[in-house]
Amino acid sequence: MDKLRSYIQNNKDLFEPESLPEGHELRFLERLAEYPPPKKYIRYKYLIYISVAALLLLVIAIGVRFLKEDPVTSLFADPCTGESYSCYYDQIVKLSDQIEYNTRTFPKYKRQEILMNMESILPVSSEDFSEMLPAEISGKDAERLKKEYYQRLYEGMKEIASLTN
Amino acid sequence: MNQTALYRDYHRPIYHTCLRILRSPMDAEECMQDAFMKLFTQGKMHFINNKACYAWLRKVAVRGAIDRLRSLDFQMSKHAEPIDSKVVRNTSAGEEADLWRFLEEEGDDARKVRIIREQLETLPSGYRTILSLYLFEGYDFDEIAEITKLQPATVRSQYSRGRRRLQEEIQYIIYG
Repeated sequence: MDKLRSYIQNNKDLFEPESLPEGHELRFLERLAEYPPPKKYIRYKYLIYISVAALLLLVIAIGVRFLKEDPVTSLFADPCTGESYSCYYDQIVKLSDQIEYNTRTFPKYKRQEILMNMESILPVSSEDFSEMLPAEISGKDAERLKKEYYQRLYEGMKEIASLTN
Repeated sequence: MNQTALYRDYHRPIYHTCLRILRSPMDAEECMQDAFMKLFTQGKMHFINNKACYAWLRKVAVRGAIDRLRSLDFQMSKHAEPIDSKVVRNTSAGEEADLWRFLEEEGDDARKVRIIREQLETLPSGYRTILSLYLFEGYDFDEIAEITKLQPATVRSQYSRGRRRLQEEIQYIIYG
């Protein structure tokens, strides 16, 4: 470091003896008071981002919940797709129990009407249709026909169940 | 730290930085206040620490002072001497070493300081600004070039000339 520079740095206070003009702080505060406080652009910016993110999250959450528990979808969804005819039979039995439970508070005549309709399509067992099939039919065709039969019964039972909800 | 506390901590060094460049106490006060106003009104109070805040304030004050000088009467360019100037007397490196020896001699520091200050103030604004930034503010030539928007080579040249000019004046006063 050169001599002059070091000398100045070491004696800086001696080089700055002057006091500031009197009243400088007051003048500064007056000047400062004329300005509005700085706007918090950064905070506002983040607030907007956070609000948008929260809104998106809410929409996604509602969407997921709606898709999961969509009553319309679940009503029309076939629970036995790719399953055997016995699945339809089990569903029919479940629905019949549900219909009986749902109609317990209905007027008597109304309940009887619904239960009669239900019983008219309720199969006795999962094999009662097998007994009606001709003996010469192949196993594969028998399986298909049974599935179609119980599926139709299941659809009918769903319609009756929809009246009780 | 609140605004008043920050102002009280740093107004003095910032004022003197401005004063060295502008010479007028009124202009220096305004220049110093401009820097604080920028700090407080433009949402710039996001510094890691007070040292960083002071460095920012000082740079803003120096830029403001230089702009003020330039806008007043283009002194920076008007008084900066051309490279082939004949005003500068030739002095050798040996003479320079001898000259600054007086700083190390026993004696009245107040007198030495007064002489240096007075002679600095008589320098043209361009030299005075660059010498102030280098000698007092501790900036290097590249930083001064960035602040003054001059080429680093120009800054070195201006510094060298200004310093030689200062040296000659002081030499005349001390040794006759």
